[in-house]
Amino acid sequence: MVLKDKKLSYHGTDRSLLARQGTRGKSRVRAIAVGGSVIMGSVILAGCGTSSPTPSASSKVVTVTFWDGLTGALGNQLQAMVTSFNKTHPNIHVVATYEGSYAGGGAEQEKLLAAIQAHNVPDIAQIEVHSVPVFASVGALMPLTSFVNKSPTDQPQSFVPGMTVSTQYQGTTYAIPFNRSVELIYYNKAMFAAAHLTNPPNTWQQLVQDAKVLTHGTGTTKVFGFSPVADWWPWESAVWSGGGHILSPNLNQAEFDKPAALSVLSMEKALQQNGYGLVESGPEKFSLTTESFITQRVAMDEDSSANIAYVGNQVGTKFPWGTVMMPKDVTRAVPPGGADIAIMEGIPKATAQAAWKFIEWWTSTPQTIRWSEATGYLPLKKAALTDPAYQTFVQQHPQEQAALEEIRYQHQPPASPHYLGVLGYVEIQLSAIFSNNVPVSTAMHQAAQQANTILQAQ
Amino acid sequence: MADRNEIIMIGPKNKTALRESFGSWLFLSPALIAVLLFLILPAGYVAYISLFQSTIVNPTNRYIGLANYGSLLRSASFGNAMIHTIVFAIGVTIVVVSMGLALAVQLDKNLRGTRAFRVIFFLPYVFPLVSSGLAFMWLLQPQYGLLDSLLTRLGLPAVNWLGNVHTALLMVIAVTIWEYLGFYMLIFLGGLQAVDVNIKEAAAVDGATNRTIFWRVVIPSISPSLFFALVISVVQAFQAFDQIYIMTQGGPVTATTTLTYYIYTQGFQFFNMGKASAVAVLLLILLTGLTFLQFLLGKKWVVIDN
Repeated sequence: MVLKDKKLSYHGTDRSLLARQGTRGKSRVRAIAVGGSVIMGSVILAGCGTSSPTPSASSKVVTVTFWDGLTGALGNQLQAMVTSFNKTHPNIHVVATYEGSYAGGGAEQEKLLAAIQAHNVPDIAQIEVHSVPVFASVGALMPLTSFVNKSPTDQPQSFVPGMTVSTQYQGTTYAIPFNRSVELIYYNKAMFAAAHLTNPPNTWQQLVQDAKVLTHGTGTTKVFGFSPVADWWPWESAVWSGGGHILSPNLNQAEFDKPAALSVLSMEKALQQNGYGLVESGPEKFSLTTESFITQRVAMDEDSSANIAYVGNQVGTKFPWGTVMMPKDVTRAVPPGGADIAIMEGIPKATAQAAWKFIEWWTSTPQTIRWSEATGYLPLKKAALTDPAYQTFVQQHPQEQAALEEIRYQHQPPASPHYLGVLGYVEIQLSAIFSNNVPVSTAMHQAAQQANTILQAQ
Repeated sequence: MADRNEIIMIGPKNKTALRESFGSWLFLSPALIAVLLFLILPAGYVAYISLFQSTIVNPTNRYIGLANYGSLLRSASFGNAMIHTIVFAIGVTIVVVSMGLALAVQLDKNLRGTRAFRVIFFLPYVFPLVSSGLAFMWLLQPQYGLLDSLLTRLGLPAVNWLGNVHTALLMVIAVTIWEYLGFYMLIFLGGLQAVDVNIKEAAAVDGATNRTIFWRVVIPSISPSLFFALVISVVQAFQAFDQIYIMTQGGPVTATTTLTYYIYTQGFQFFNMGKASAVAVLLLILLTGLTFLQFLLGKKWVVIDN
């Protein structure tokens, strides 16, 4: 599955395609090495149990192991913040290790599965927002209700509305927002002005019209009006915006092949077919789309809000640009993006308490502002939005505004333990639609049938 | 003769033999334990898991007998992966064996610069497939890649080599060939250099042409190398994973999903370890069968010099 915003790095670091691909390759090699050692380690440690600090000995330092999925500048920022936490909390020592991407099918997730089976889990882990139900449904995550209820700072209403959509499974909180993003439409203001368009699109109909007007030129100098990404993340928004549903309410039937669920997807496909839309394919399709926007091959594209800082650095003063919320069709709805943090089930109580302290610290207003300003991820707390320092930051980075507005339109993805498998089939058929010209309804009907086989297997 | 052997086997001497061979077993034991622990036991466990319906954390959730195999053999996606694997194996094997042999024959002539070429052809094999895959991905990239920028300069349209269902598998095959060609060249070179010069000269004296010498003397002489190359190349092709994971992740659509990549997607994208294990078992059976067949056919053409 495609990596979303997690391999991005910011603020003057080397963000070339090659560098990122290099990181990916490395992470795979590491994945194999670490995967091997996880298995080895679990064999060796099987009889040893987990070293548990005694709760009574308050002077003892409690070690909290943390598996994260952030590399490059993001990983460095994470480490820097963990170091500051450790400095200010002498009784707790958080050890954060990069385990590969946390995306569905990413190395961190694979290792977590192996660790759960081997009963040798880390204490806390970053969990991709769509995977929280997957891990929660099998009892791998510790319910956080009692922590949340007692917390002076992390009550659900303290978070930005819409931010906690991904953190619950069957009414119980299993995760806390950690590094979060939403998808946006990026648009080239210079091209809009040249085409005499005054406002960015607000609806999919407007986007289609604008894309036609913005398309010009031929051959290698052709500019495409819009570049959608043939990926399940924006696809979720497409299904919901058209008034469709991904799964039935009881989660055992795919409904994304119904007409409403296909309307936005069909508009995107028509744009591609008529030469107004550029759709990238292959494992690097997200990066390629971003690069197309930066190099002015497209006037609008779909991208993660976590990419604002990177695009800003790359575009510089070459052209003015802005972001706008994902358009609405029948309604406006976007999936959450990024990751939450969860405490693993079965770890000692004292460790869980120390882990919770770290989570509270991370989500605290000053820390979430620090994280957001350094990385471009969304601030988690309501209080951050009214903080003068953060308001100054948004004034300097006006593209963040659309992301902040969009947070409340986040929709909870289906909380099915089989959902990642469903997305796997969708991803294949999206590729069939845009790379192989399979009709939208045929492809999605096939994906729905395949999805039903895993949804109805039990 | 046979009877006598049997008598020895059950006679008291057997104990002595056992005692004598104990030392050998002792020396073999580290390797045997490793093979048992890391090959035979896991393989057995995979076969066991393949009989179960899995959940994300419990591979042996519910015993379902051979149902995983049944659903695989009926599924279009498995058939699809099988076809890609066969195309991949045939494509890679034919090219690496024929081109490897052709290169080896040229390098065996001791022309000027032979050493340099030997190193150049062998060099790709030294690189990990992951890095070769990344390098090729960069060369084949449609917007900035070298190949497409050359094409557009010649006035030809740029092709999204790895994003097109018709070209992606070919490109993955090409990288695999580039990676392994030198290895096979080296095997053949070893074989060629061991060919008895006397036989070649004798054939020449008898009036055989170079072509006849090649087909009647050289090829039979290096047939063990050829056989080895064929077996290994087919096995390698069936196990291909790294380059696919790096370059295409099985796509576009499922154009580059081979059996090993299919195992990976079943196991780690669909979290269905039972089904993934069933594919692994089928792959094992298939490879064993293929190798057995090769040995069987090999008896007809491989010349073993006693």
